[in-house]
Amino acid sequence: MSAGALILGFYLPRRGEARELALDAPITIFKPNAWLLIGVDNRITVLVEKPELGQGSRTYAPMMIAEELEADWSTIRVEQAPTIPAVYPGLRTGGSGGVASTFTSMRSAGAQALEMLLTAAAQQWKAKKRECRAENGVVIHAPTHRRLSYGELVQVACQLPPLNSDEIPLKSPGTFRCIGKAIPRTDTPGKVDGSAVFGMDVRVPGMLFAVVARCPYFGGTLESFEVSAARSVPGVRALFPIPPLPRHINTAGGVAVVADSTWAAIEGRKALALKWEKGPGEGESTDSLRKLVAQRAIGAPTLAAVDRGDAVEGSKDAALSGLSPEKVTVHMTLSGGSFGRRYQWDYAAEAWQVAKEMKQPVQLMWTREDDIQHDLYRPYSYQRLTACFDERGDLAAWSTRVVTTPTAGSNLYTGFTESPETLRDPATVAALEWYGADVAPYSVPNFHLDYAPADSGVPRSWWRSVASSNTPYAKECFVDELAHARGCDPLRFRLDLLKDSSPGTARLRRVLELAAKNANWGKPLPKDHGQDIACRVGGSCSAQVAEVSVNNDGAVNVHRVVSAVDCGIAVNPDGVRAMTEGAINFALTAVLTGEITIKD
Amino acid sequence: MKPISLRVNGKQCQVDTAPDTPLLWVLRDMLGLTGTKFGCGMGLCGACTVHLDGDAVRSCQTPVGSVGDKLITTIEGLSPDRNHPVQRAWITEQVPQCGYCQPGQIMQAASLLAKKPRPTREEIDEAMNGNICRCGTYQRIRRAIQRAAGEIA
Repeated sequence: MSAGALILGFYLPRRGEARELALDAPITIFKPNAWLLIGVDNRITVLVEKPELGQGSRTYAPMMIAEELEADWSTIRVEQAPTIPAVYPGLRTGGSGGVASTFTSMRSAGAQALEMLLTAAAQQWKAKKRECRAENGVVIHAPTHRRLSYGELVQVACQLPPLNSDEIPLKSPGTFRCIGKAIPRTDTPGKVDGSAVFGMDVRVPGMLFAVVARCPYFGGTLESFEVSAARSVPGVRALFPIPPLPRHINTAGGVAVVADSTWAAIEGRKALALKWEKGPGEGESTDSLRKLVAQRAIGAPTLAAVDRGDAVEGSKDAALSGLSPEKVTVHMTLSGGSFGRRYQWDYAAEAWQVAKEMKQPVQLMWTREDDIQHDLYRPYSYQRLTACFDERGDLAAWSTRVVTTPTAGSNLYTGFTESPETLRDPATVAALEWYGADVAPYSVPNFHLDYAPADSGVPRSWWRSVASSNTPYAKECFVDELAHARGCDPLRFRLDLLKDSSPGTARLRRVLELAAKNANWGKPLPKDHGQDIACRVGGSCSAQVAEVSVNNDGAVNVHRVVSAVDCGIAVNPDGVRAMTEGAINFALTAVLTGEITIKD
Repeated sequence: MKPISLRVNGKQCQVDTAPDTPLLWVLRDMLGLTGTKFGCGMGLCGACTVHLDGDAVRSCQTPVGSVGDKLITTIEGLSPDRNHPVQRAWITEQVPQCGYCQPGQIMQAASLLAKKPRPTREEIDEAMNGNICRCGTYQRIRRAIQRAAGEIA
């Protein structure tokens, strides 16, 4: 998120000791690149740019750096990198790509720093650099047994010219000492003693607390509001309307209630008398959506993007505050699990609206009701799949129609790199919605995929796994139906379709077989228990076997899930396990108990 | 308004607020103890769990005027140095992901073990049922409680 578009109404003073900097003060910190600070006290500070939402960035980034830096892990501490997009290109967490996209860059940062430390040591010892090697935070000159810790090299290293990391070779995976180990996460201690600071824990002098009464109708407006009762709630300081923001920022607008405590703001909001006008989405409901997507599933395929509002005009308001980017500082804290929600900036824009009016720091709180009602919903997805077998009984043809209320398009400007024009391009809209629906690597000689959008006033954005939360689901359920139609074991059926010898296919066969083996596939199960298998290949690939029973009343019990994951090099294997465990619980919750209903 | 006296984490303090103010907001907004989290305000998620005389309660459902002289313990006061067996087990088992629900989970677990040092799996599940975790760390929570209870080495 660029600093210009993300607005905050508060400033958090830097924590930590203030350092007196006299002009002739000795150098105490070596900063070889934007991600590392090495102190004369031998402590290494890693600046992590990817926001930590529980996925482990504050551990994996330091691990990758520490590997190449040959650092002593116990000397490492972690801080959030400052939000300077020009320096830190990866200031966002999303797309399931944090480790993969930084595997080289983080290691390069570590390698570059080590190269400079080795050069500094060689200089200090008047020795040859190639006779120096590093181990666990110490540089050693083997021929003379001399040793210097990184901290002892800081002052000499600071005198060296900056070094470009591009040319520095990286370690081969066979020599990894740190990557691949289940190192305990760096943020766990703070998360078990209450000291970890999340966004709503931030306190600054003079800070007020606010909530917003938002229009309950998508696209609706405030007709009138009456504040006398709210004004007399103790602690309430101000009440004022805030207009909805253009489509690409997508806030509902409403009435802000500002108070000297969160509770007073919540109580004040309860006392507001509000009248709302329904918007153009009036009449839309879960039922109407259901009917609409079913129609779009059998109509003529069209890639036309839904057009409502003017995304081009809206994007010109990106610099909402009118402030130049240098005047805006974003302080990134720890965050709750997000799963796509915080990739938008509507909440920050609202906070700006309120703070601008108050001319004081304001913390804008969303209650759970606010959160659920004004979340950005994942696309409604409906898929129609057909297939046929030839005379030999082999799969001959497969056709998929994907219908969604698309994320892209003029309802919501979602991209950071795509222009509004690109997001109205039908091919872009479709591509964002249908990935994962392609049949590969299953081999089918004739395959067709098309997409049709369904219009909706419900605001949409990304949810964990994005399109992969629905397209592989439909595909794998359908594969099971095909297997059943052929009277074939679902595992065998899949393996038979994974015939070619490409690396992707081989990986998928391996995870299928591994999951099946660990789930005792084919062995007798308790009465009324069933087992099935599904798989997915993307960057990583995985297969899962679930053992399930269904009660007479239709209640589903999941007894066991076995998951096999091939994610290439697992930087922290326990982290991969944790993500997999969480994803299984997350998915089961959505499938078995989750529901969204829309009315009026 | 008469100030309300409270004993929080072993210290005496006073707050100026209506007696029906939920203890959660008194802790977070008036006493600066932000370790206790707001998740729903309706007693449905457990993120706000603190102890009153050692018993787990949902602070969002506890009017501050009803506390009296019971000792309030928040996550910050559970131990001075993360040394409570539940906290140690939480670190060993690497329970937290985002961590937002975990203070409530830990306080609930600590209260359970204070009453039932060797809970069965069913007793664990029943006691912890009201603490939800969207990141899905449930299996690790259960294992950490078993570890803290001495069930696993």
